[in-house]
This record gives sequence, C-alpha cells and structure tokens, in this order.
Amino acid sequence: MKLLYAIKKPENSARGLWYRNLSLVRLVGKIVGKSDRLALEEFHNHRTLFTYGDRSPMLFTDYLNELRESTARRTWIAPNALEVADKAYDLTIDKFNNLPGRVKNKSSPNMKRKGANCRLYFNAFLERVTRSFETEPPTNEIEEEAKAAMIMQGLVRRHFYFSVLEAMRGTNPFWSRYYWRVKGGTICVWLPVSLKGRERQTWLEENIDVPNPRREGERERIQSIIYRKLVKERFVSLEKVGDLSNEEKLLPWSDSGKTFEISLAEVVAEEKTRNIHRQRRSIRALGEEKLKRLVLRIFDDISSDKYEDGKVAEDYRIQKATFSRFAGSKWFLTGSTIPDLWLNTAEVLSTHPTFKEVAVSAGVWKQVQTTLEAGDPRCGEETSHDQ
Amino acid sequence: MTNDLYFISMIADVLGQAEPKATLRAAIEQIQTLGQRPEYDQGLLQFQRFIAEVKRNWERRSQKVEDIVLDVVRCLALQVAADLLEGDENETQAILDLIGSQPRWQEEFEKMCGETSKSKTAQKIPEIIIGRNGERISSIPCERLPVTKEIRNVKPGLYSLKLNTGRLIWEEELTERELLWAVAFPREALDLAADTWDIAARATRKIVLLNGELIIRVFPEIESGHLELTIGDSNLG
Repeated sequence: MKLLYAIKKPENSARGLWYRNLSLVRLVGKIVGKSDRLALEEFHNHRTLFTYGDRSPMLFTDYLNELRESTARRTWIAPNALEVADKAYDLTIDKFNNLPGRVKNKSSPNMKRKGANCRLYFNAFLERVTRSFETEPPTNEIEEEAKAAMIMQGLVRRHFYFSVLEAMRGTNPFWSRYYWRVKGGTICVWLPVSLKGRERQTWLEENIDVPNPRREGERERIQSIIYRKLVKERFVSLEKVGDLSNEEKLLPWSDSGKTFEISLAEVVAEEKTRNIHRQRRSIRALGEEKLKRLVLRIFDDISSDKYEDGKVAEDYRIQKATFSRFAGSKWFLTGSTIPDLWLNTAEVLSTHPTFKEVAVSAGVWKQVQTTLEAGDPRCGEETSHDQ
Repeated sequence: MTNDLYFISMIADVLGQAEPKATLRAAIEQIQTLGQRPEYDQGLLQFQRFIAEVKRNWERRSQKVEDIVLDVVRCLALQVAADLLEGDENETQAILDLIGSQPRWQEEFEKMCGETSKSKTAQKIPEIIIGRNGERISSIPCERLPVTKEIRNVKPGLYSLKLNTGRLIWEEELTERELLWAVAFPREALDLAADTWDIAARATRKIVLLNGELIIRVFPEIESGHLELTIGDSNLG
C-alpha cells in the first residue's frame, strides 16, 4: 500500500494559516489552477470532509482506508478481495494526490507524464460544485462548505469504486483494454480477450447505441452494457476465451457441432502431440510425429479388436510398465490410476457438445454419480497424469 | 478381444459419423448391455470410471465458465451498489433484473449495498468547533439558524473556531485584557456596571467572520470571561 509520501505536515506558519482559512472551493481552485502543493497538503492534512457510517469526520486517507477495509471484507466482490482493495486504494490515492511537476525540458513538451494527475479529478469537483450551486445556491458560507464537502465525498467515493472495478479487471486474465475510436473521440473499455482485432469494433458498433465520448459517465455506461450483453448471450464462454493454456483451447468439435466427422483418435492424437512437453520422459522422447502415430495405432488396434499392450510397447520400444501407465488396457482391478491416454480421451470427450447430453439421457451420468456417492475409492479420484 | 477397452472402440466408431447423436445413444446402451456379460466385467467398471472422468472434466470446465460470468455480474452489481451508473435508469433496471435472476447474486448484492451505503453518509449538519490551545472545548451545530451560544469560564489562551470540515475560521490569543474586567476596565467597578445593566454592552471585542455570518463577542468578568457566538443572523453584523 502506498503512503502519502509527498505530503508533509506543514509548519504552523502564517502562510499555513492562510491556507487553513480558505474555503474548500478556493483551496481546490488553487490546486487546479496553480498546481499549488501547499493547497494539496492542506487538503490532505487538515480537511476532515469525509464521514463513514456514524464515525466522526475524517481525512481523505482515513476515509479511503475505511473503503479499502470494507471492500476487503466483501469477498464476493472478488476472490482476491484484499488484493483488489489494496490496488483500488493505491489507484485512488494517485488520483487525488499525484500532482505532476512542470516539464523542465521545453524541447520535449510532448513527453508523457507518468500516472494520474490530481488536477483533473479536482477539476471535476469544481465543475460539479459550480453546477450544484447554480441550481441551488447556498445561503451562507457555512452551508457552502458543507455542500462542497458532500460533493467531494461523493466524488472520492465514486472514484474509489471505479478503482475497484479497474483492479478487478486488471487482475482478471479474461479481459483486456480496448480504446474505441468513435465519433471523433476515444473511449477506453474492457472486452473479453476472446474478441480480437476488428471483431471488437464491430461488436461495439452493433451493440452500443448512440455512443458519445464527450458524455459524462459514458465509459461506465458502455462498460455495463458490455457486461450485461455478454452475460446474457453467454458470450463469455470458456471456448471463446483465447488467453488460456493449451489444454483449455478450443477443440475441433466444440464449435457449434459443424465438425462432427472428426475421429476421436485424431483429436486425441492431436491433443497429445500438442502437449508433448507434458508427457512422461520416455513418451516425450518419441517426438511429435512418432507419438501421433502411436496414439493412432492404439485406437486403430482397439477398433480392429487386436489391441495388445505388450505388442505395441515392443514395436515402439517402450518399457512395458511405462506403456501400461500410458495406455494400459487393464487398470481397474489392478488398482492402478487411469492411464494417461484414457484420461486425455475423457478430457477430450468432455468438450463434445453431444456426448454429455446423450450420457445423461442414457442414465450413465447419474449412474456414475451414484457410484461416486457410494464412495468407490477408485472412482473419480485425483490422478496425476502427463508428468 | 479387447474387452477391457470395448467402450473406447464403440464410442470412437460413432463419433466419426456425421450424425452421432442417435448412434452414440445406441452405442452407450450397447456398452451397458454388453457390460452385463461376465467377460466384460472389468470393461464395464473401467467404462464407469472413464465416464466419471469425463464428468469431472465437464464440471471443471463449466465451473470456469460460471466463474467468468460471476466476475461480470460482480462488476455490474458493484456499479449499481456504488451508484456508478447515475442517470441511466434503464441500464440500472436491466442489471437489477439480471442480479435478481439468481437468489445467491441477489443476496450478495444486498449485502454489498449495505456495505457501500456506509460510505455514502456525508456530513449533513455543519458544525462549528470551538477550541482552546488545540483542544476541543465546545461545538455548535448549525442546523437551524440563527443560533447563539455562550461559552463561559473563558480563560486566557489560544482560541479557535473551525468548521467540522476542517476549515479554520478564526484563531487568536485571548488575553486578560479581553477576559478580566479588572484589567479591561480598571477604572470601573463591576458591581456598578452590573447595576446599570451596562455589563451586557461592555464587550471587549467583536469579531466579525464569514462576511458577517458569524460574530464573536468577548466579555470580561471577574475571574474569567465569556464568549457569545451568533451564527446566521446577518442583521446583527
């Protein structure tokens, strides 16, 4: 967690007192208009603008800490709620504390500054205050100060929760940022990584009505539409998520049933060779081509009813015991774990769009569940494979 | 005969066909029928174990999809609970409908709303805090104006007034000259002044703050003085 290292306690000088006397609106005006660090110090060190529950008025950092702890307690927000809460705390501190210095090198005026610029966030406060006071002018300075404090609390609170969302997305590998150029502006949104390239722009154009980069809160409006539509359409499916490990990647027949005429042997052989780095050493030593031929041979032998473990092992010069662990035909009565090849076959079948449906309707799915519940020690146990 | 793996060949054979649904069902039924025969004892048990593995993989994959969906729902729930979608009622309602579709989501959403609402409580009643030598000695809620408050037993020291938002309104040293009658008015006896009701008009200081919204009057007495603070009565200014 970050500390407000940039802020030091101001001395009780006449100048310090002058800042202490400024109204919140004027104080923030100094930060926005003059990049005034003393004004920023006054804001963080003395202004108890915030309340939480029935607690006494508190400083910005104390309020932020309450928000952080509250978020960390809500584990439903994210399984890693503590990490998300800490990250959101840091992001919000930056938003309201990071006052970039002036660019000294005039020869590179376009040099990008790192991090947030608190003047932008404080300026949003001034704009809100102006709007609010135009609609309902305060009757005196005391009321003005109280109203301004309420607006500031609302702003900080919103930005903290925006930071929570940012932290949640940032820690989620299934989402990535996309800068949508639309109507002469740019809106930064998060999209599933499965949507790639031009698909992103097309999807946004088809699904987001009347985007307006200049409208306040537009980014969050669009983001919520994205989330809602993606959930509704079940668009965020595992098969479409591209940023997965090899073993999770799309299998030939799992894409809308167009490619049924692919043999199980071919799919498993493909899967095995793709993951050859995860095979037992002696199997790995065969190389991709030979491994593929081995798998196809095994399936072929089984189909033609001439499968003999020992014979295949001999042909491929694999030790019998190793072969038995790889594709043995008897494992149940010997108390062994399921051989690697059959585990992989089961994994491949689990992605088949029809297999589960048929297994359920044939009663096999339930039968297996009953067996598992009856406590068959060899049924459904964790097995180590591909090591 | 590869009886122990008979189910592999039967499944593999039908999956290669153009319309595997009906044939797959027939194949599974046949696997079970054959499994009743003694020579397929081990094969049937291995088939069941194999299906358990398929099931486990399927559940693991489904769980991952559910996790991703849940992530999205959490983001939406947080946006509504924290009022991040201000002004877009249609969008908010659509999200609430989605959350309401699952009792578990609804329950967690309500808890989240309870938690986030604590952060919403802003200072509604402005308050003026009176301090002496850095310590709070009194406060005046400014709920209904005008309001007047007297602070008694005011001894020399550094006095301050600040709003509960932290803004300092006034800070000044009050001395015996302002707080003790004998020092402030050495030639006038207090009892005489009291007889003529003059004492009320004998403030040693009148401090006008916030464009006349707040007036402090300092009165001297025998052993300590008193302060009179009037807030929100600009006619007095």
